[in-house]
Amino acid sequence: MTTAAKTMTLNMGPQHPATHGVLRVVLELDGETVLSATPYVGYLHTGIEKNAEDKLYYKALPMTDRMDYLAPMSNNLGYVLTVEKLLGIEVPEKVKFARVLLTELTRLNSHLVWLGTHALDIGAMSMLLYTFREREMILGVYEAVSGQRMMSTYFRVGGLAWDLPLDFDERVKEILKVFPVKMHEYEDLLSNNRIWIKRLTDVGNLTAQEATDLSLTGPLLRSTGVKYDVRKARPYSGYEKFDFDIPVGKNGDCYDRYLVRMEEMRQSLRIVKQALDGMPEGPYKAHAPGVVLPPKKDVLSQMEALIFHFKIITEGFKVPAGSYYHPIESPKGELGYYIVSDGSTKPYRMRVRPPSLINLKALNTMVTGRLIADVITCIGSIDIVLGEVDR
Amino acid sequence: MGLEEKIPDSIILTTVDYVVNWSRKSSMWPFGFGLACCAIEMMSTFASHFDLSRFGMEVMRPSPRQADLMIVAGRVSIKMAPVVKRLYDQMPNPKWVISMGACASCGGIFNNYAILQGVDRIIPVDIYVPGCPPRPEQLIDGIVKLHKKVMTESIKGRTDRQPQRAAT
Amino acid sequence: MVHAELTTEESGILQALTDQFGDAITGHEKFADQFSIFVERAIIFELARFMKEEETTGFDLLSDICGVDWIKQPERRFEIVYNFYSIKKNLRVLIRTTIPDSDKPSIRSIEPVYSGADWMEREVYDMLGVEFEGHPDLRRILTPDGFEGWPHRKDFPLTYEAPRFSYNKDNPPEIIK
Repeated sequence: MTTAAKTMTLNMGPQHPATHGVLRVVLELDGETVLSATPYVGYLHTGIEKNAEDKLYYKALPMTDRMDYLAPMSNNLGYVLTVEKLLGIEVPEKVKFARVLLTELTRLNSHLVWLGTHALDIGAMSMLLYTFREREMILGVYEAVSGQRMMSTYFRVGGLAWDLPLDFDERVKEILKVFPVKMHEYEDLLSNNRIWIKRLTDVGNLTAQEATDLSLTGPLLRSTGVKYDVRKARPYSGYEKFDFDIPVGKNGDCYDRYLVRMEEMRQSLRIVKQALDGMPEGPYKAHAPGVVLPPKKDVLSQMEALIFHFKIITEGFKVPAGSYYHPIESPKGELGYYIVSDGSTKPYRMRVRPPSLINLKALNTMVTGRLIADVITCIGSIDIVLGEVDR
Repeated sequence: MGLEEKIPDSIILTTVDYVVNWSRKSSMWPFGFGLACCAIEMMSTFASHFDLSRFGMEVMRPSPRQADLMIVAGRVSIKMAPVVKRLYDQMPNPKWVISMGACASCGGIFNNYAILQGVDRIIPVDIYVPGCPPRPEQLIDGIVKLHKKVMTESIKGRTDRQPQRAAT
Repeated sequence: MVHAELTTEESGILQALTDQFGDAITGHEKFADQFSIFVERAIIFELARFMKEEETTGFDLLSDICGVDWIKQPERRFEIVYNFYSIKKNLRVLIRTTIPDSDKPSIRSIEPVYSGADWMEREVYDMLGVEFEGHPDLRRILTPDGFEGWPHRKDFPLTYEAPRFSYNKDNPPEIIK
């Protein structure tokens, strides 16, 4: 009697402490070796794209915050830049600098949460407490700027919602003083740690050819050696004026991704310093009468400003017909907004290119032939946010 | 505890009630059911700045069989709803539910085909914490209110464990 | 069709495509540094292979596949936009095809050429109901299994529930839109 070895199917269900949200992975196992890993997504599907077709342009803006909820200002930036391009509005210099500064703080925010939760999965539990302690400073900046700790919706079409607050400089200087010391602490704990190195090197290898075939972007692609960053390839919102480097890895394994993200954090601090030092004076909104709300003192004294204010709030502004795709570099990869407009006040179709969903496809390639513990490492190293995967 | 179903209705228990409720509220183990953005604020509440372990709750059990308090943090989509119900059923008595955030309480800003308009359509909820996402202080306020509610309970059994609104 | 100035590389690509495919390239448009080419849907597979493997084009990254529903134009109802990017040349091209309205709208899948197109096409299928022939595993990805309807079509209602107040708690309004 011949017996064929049967494989076991294991379900890492939607509720799991290490899957960073509601992700379900079905593993085919032969003993402890993984033969295939199939992710099932959709447990957080919110219908944001369909819902945005029903709302005015500025009303759809808070919904974009809630997609990638670890880097909310990046999502706002992508949407706002696309609509401004369709309208043909140029924003003042101060707005560009403020947007770059806050977006880089957002990148720091997202990478800190990634580091804390990734280390927690692998077993270094105290990293979570350290990174969340540092994160409170960045959330303090968000709260000073807009009043909300996470979903700030501070960027508006044509500029910012309000002017930067008076204690903004001090708060950002405090961050710039404290963070390099803390990053040194994190690297001290992890980078040369024998356990960390053994768990991460040679796990989840990807070659550059496989990575471009799978349409991966972000730190995943850069760890394989391909130097593609949207901030350098197609600069937006004034990034061409800043001086920063793009870290690139060699082997394409999880340790390289860790090093790439740590270096990205340092480069973000560099950009924040340049943006703070070079912040120009000026208006915080563009002057575009039918689109951008007029300043409040004009609304209270002039008739046309009052009428514009009323019409923008109640009817919204019309965007000329056309469609545009604008990519930005979010902490997870290339986040792209493709907005189709038919000339009315509501977007006809808002498509978000989700970097996390497309990067998640690489999980099967990364874990085939490895052990179950490597699945957890790889999921953490891809750095997914389920709100963006499912939208 | 198992004995409470056997106690006839004509007996009043005062000090036993107090001691049992006090011990239940002092070490309630949460089953952090973090779904979306509110989960990150819940994690911030567990972290060192707004410490939750002063309430005895730092043990966040990933398994429902070992947890008392289910904090539904985030939007519940209709694909996830049977999973939520199943996990709630797997929790042993006594159990409490906090619905954290606007999306878990009433659907939030998402009023469409894909989101369940409030988790109280499928499981009974004790405390609703509003916010999008609620600040850690708001969540702690909700937990303190839950503790006060637990202190007023009786161990003879709770008969109000029905979902609040019929699902339509 | 908006015609701004095409750069030399973009005209080179347009020329290479027209030489290879002739009439199937129906037009092009340039709007503020975004270059799009309109093609017929029958040649999409050969076009994808040409875009990836030829020296003149060399688009190695497929950024996105997006589906748009133009319900008021039944003969070109479903527009599928393929977003190609070349890392070496730093060039982005949008290829647009349209599919007319029918019971089973379908188009050939480009998954054998770009394996990243797998989940993007599954999402277009899930949301719009467009079938991709030759796709290895076409099933719903975001909505639950057994969900009826294609959410992003314009005739699928948003299923918006009107809020219930205490005065109409006993006879609530029906689900509108």
